[in-house]
Amino acid sequence: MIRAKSTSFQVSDKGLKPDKDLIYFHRAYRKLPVGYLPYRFLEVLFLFFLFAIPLFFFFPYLTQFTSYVAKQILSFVIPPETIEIQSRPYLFRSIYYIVSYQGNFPDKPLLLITTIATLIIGIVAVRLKSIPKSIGIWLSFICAINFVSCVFFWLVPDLFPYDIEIFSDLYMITEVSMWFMIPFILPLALIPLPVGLFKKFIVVCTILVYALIFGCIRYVIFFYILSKFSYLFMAILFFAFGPLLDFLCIVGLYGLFVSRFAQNVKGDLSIWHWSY
Amino acid sequence: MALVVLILKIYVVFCAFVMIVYVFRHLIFSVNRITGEQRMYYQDILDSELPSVSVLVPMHNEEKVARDILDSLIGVVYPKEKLEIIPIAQEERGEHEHEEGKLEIIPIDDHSTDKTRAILMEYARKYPLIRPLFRTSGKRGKAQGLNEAMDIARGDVVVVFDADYIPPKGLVRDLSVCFKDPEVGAVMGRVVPVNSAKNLLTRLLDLERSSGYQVDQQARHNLKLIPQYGGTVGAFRKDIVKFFGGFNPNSLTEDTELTFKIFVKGWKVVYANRAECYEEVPENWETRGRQIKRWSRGHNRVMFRYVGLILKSPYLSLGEKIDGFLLLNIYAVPLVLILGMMCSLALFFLGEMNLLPGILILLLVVAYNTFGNFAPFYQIATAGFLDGSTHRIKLLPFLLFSFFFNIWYVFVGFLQAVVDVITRRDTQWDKTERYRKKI
Repeated sequence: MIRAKSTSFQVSDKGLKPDKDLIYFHRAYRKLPVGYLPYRFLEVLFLFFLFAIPLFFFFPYLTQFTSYVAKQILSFVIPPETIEIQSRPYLFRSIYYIVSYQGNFPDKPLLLITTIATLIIGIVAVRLKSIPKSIGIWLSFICAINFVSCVFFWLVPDLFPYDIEIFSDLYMITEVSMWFMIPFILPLALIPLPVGLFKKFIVVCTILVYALIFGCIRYVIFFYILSKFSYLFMAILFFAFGPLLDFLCIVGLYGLFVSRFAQNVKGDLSIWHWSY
Repeated sequence: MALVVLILKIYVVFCAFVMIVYVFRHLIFSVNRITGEQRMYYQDILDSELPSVSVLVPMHNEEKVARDILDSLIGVVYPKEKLEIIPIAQEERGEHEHEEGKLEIIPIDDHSTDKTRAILMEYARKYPLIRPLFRTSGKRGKAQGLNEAMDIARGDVVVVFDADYIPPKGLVRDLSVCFKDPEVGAVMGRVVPVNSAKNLLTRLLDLERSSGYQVDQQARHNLKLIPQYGGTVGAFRKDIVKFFGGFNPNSLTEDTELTFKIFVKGWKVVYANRAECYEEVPENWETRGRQIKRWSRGHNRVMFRYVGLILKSPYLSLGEKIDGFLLLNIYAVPLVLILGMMCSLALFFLGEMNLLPGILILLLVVAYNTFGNFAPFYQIATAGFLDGSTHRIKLLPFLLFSFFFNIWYVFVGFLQAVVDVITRRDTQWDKTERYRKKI
């Protein structure tokens, strides 16, 4: 066991007490043996295929299920007869998505209000002292995307290349891509950490389940915004609240898992090695 | 139109390629740091023949922190006849004569208008080893201050601390002992924030620092690549810097420039992970923004000058050249990324986004860049793991705010660097605000 007893003492009511029970070796050169390194990379491939193969066979059902749930929820706010589930060939299989006849282009008053509001928020966000600069810049980034969208609809609305069907299809493709990326990115990100194969499997499973649920909820929200309001917000939904938000949540969950693993090994001197 | 779309797509693919290169670079660093053999520095050398040392402390309006660092430096453990501490205030240079070979600390009072001068004079009267340099004329700035202080410094080795640092007792020896190896041109220690628990920003900066030193620098040292001399908690051979003609007074990142000068000419920079020193990190986003902008501006100017020299240097291995190239370009990545985002937006409005490759590229771009200051989320998590910052790892998603903030200020810094190079204009040193009330 690599440890040293504390030799520093403090006087208290109960007599002499050591400052610390243990003094650890310094953190500078500590390391964790994670086993044979090529094996860790093989684990990444193993986990990827473990999830990717079933995903390849089942993603049509998952997209169908997502579309079905989204349609059921949306039928509370959108006339159900205007919503349909459609499919098309994708990756040698089929992909399902919902379409509605209610999508619309922005009218002039909405466009004007949105343009002015976007400009004001974009400027105020970075100027106002009470808003932290970091949040201000993030808001401005969102406003910049929306402003480009506004300009596009002012100048060449007829050239807007999407309708709700194409966007819905694009959203589903994005989700499927994300489902395939999760079992690759996460095991890769866990390579440096002393996490066993089973725990990695659990992490990937949990985050995949999250992605499925959150993806469905977001699908409903996106669809509602586009069909009830306007295509004007399509760009901002895709760039600011699309894969970026997905990735943010994935990293948040990853952080929670890693924090827990780190706590488990923090005081366990049998796990840590130093230098070699 | 088809040609425009093709160009945009090629650029986005290029952007993704750049991101993938950095993703793997940092994955290699993370894996090496946590599992690989750790290369130590020279702390095991027990030699009484240590080099003579001058400690330089550049100061500009540092009344909040000046006493703390001087008190810490007076307490350092080092053969006293080998040490000199030089704070910098110009017209009274040479006022305090000292016996040859005595301990020397040189605080550099650089055009201060607060009580810094009075504090330095008080300490100089009390402690003969402190020989302040008072600067009231000439160009203000760290590089110029260090140049003038080196003219009066008697040590063979120069140790530099910024004024907000609190060096522990053994640090000067830990840094100086590395110069027993004639190949070593400079040494860098580890920076640890002292005010990390102050607010969200300081906690995020703690994560970034941890990632940058505990993983990035140590891995580069392990792999014999290019550890960076960081301009504070570091030391260099005075004769080498004199041989280079001193620091460029117009440089905003004299540390990065020195790193590359040293490597190009065949010396090495050593990273001493054990040599830790506390610093004060910015507590508000405005100060942090100015700091990043200055780093980006200075770093990119060095990039313009040294990227060719690094690749041509006969003294560097292939690994060092590749790492040096990637390190030099790291503050140019946000420009690549911003242009990539603009191309993606253009492709979106041109109806060219409904392609699987497009989405994957977007994801990869996000994967690298969403989090941290040029460090992916897994490198920051690895650093938190090693440092035992178990709860702080949970803050990883909040680095999203740092991401947009950083790329904006780095981008602005890059543009300023381009204008600097074109117009050859003078640069002005932007001092980082201090917050300390009491240690």
